This record gives sequence, structure tokens and C-alpha cells, in this order.
Amino acid sequence: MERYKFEDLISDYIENKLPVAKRKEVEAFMEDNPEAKDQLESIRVLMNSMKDLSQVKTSDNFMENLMKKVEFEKNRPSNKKHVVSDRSKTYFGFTPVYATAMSCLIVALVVVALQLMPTNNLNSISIPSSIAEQESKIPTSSNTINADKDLMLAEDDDTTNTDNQNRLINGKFDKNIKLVGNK
Amino acid sequence: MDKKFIFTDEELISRFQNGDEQAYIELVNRYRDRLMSFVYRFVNDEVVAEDIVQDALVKLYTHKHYYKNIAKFSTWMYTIAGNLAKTELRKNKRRKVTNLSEMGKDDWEYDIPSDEDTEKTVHGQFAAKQIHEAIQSLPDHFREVVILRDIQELSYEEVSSIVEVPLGTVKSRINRARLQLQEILKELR
Repeated sequence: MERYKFEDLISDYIENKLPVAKRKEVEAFMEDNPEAKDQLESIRVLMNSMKDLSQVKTSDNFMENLMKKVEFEKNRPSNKKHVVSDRSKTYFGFTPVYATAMSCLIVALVVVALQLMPTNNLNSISIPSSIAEQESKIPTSSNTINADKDLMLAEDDDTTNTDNQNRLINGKFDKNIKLVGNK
Repeated sequence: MDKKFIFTDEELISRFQNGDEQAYIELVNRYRDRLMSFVYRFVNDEVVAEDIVQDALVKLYTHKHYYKNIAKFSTWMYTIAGNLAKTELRKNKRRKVTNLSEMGKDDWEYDIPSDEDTEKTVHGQFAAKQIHEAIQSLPDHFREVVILRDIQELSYEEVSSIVEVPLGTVKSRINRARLQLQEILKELR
């Protein structure tokens, strides 16, 4: 065992918190190093001495001064809420008064926002003639959809599609189809 | 027998939270000297220490609802007092103070032990005053933990909660603090 390791274990040794094997290691080290034993004993005495230090007492007018401070804090407007309020009687951290005020403010904002929202249709907005001309050149959405539809039908025009039509007529399967599991 | 004497600290703070002012007085009486000992050993000034203890107990009054019954009341109280003491120490460090470690052995003050003196030699080994002064020469983070553990006799777990430092670090700091104290006191003997 090295010296620094021994020093790390001194408190645990004195307080009987070392496992037996470690304890024996410490004792073996102390046998080989008498000054280490002196150091450990000195710390043991120091710990006992600190426990026996007399308690420092507060002065006789401690209570009187304390109550003055408490009264001062109680009557101080900025601290009054801390003294009288119960944290369980708050709403999201707001006192009932603040919570009510905040709620009213939010409702007022919503009402004002609704009043300010435009109610007229967008159709009433006049479009400049140059933009209207450009719009007429752009194919309409219905035309585009029809063209796409034709293209899709051409791609899907294979035998599979006709099979499906034969198999399901008027919502009924044809006789060639057997239900799975119906042997 | 007054029933109040059998209440635990946690029961008293609960009663105080429900409006029983007498429970507050009882808590003050239980903690005033304990906190005074802790804070005085920490800041090394009785007047300042008493002010800090009063401030801590005022905080107990004004912030009673901040205590939740998940930690020991004593731990909560020591944490408040410790934080106030650390704030005071930070303020003090801005002022010029003579560091004990910079002083020679001759600069240390010694009282001649007498029978009446409460600061008399303890166990014939170390004088209380010497121990107190040696503690003052420790760095703040060593001083706080060694006072809580060896003078206030709190458990390692409680010390760890109060100083908000992991248990292993607390144990290591206490061990180092004891080694340093022993070195300082060895030179004085």
C-alpha cells in the first residue's frame, strides 16, 4: 500500500467502514510505518475534539430581534404575497386575482381579433386586367385533370383490368372464385 | 407533559404550513443554537452569524410552503443557512482580509486555558480555539463539510444533500479536510 492510498482510507478506517481485507491492509501498513499510525491516531483525537467543541449560543435578544424581522417581512408589500399566499391556491403559478386578469385579457384579445377579421369574400377583390389575361392562357384545372385521366386509362388498359370487371359484377363475385378456407 | 415536545420537525413544519404559529416558535427554539454553531464556525463572526441565522429563520417563515416533505427538515434548514453563509463569505472576500494561512504561528492568538474558560483544552490534546482557527484556514468547500460532519455530527448523506455534492466527493473532501487540520494542528503543538 502506498502512502496516499493509506491517507485516503484513514477516515473510513476510523469510522469502521472498511471491509475486513482493506482494514488488514491498513493495519499492516501502520505496522511498517509508525508515523502513519501516529497520523491516524492524531486524526482520531482531532475528530473527538471537534465533537466536544462547545455549542455557540445565540444572544438573549435573539428571539426579539427575529420577531421584529418577521413582522417587517410580513408587512412589506413586496413580500406580502410570499407570507400569506399558499402555493396550492394558485393557478399555473398565478394568484386568483392575476389568473382572472390574465383570463379577461386573453378573452378580450380573442374578441378583438374576431372583430378585425375580414368577413367579405375574396371574389369581391378586383383583379387587374393584365393578370386576368395571363390567367386565361393557363389551362384550367378541370382540363388538366381530364388529360391526366386519359393518360392513366391508357396505361391501365391491360387484361388485368378486364379480369377484375368480370370477377365483380353487380357487387357479386363470379362462380370461379372460391373463398379461402372453404374446402 | 406538553404534547408539542413529541412532534418531529416534519410534523411541526406541517402544522406551521397549516397556520400554527406556535409550531414556528418551537422550530426556532430547536434550531437557533444548532444553526448558530454551524454558521459561526463557517463565517467566524458571531454578530454576522446571528444575523445569518435570523435571516434563515425569517426565510423559514416567509417561504414555509416551499418545504416539501421529501427531504428532512434539518437538511432544508441547513441548506438555507449554508447558502446565506456562503453569500456572506463571498461578500467578505471582496474586502481585504488577512488570511490565516499567510500568518506566521506567532500571529495566532492563544488564550491561556483556565478552569472557567469554556474554550479550554479538549481531551488534553487540542485547544478548542486552536481547532476553531485551524478550521478557518481551510478552503470554504472543506470547511463547510467538516463542520457539518464533525461538529454538527450529521451523516454523510445529509451533508451531501445540504452541500448538493455527490456522496463520494463529500467523503473525499471530509477526509482531506481532516488531514489538513491534523497537519496545521501538528505544527502548533
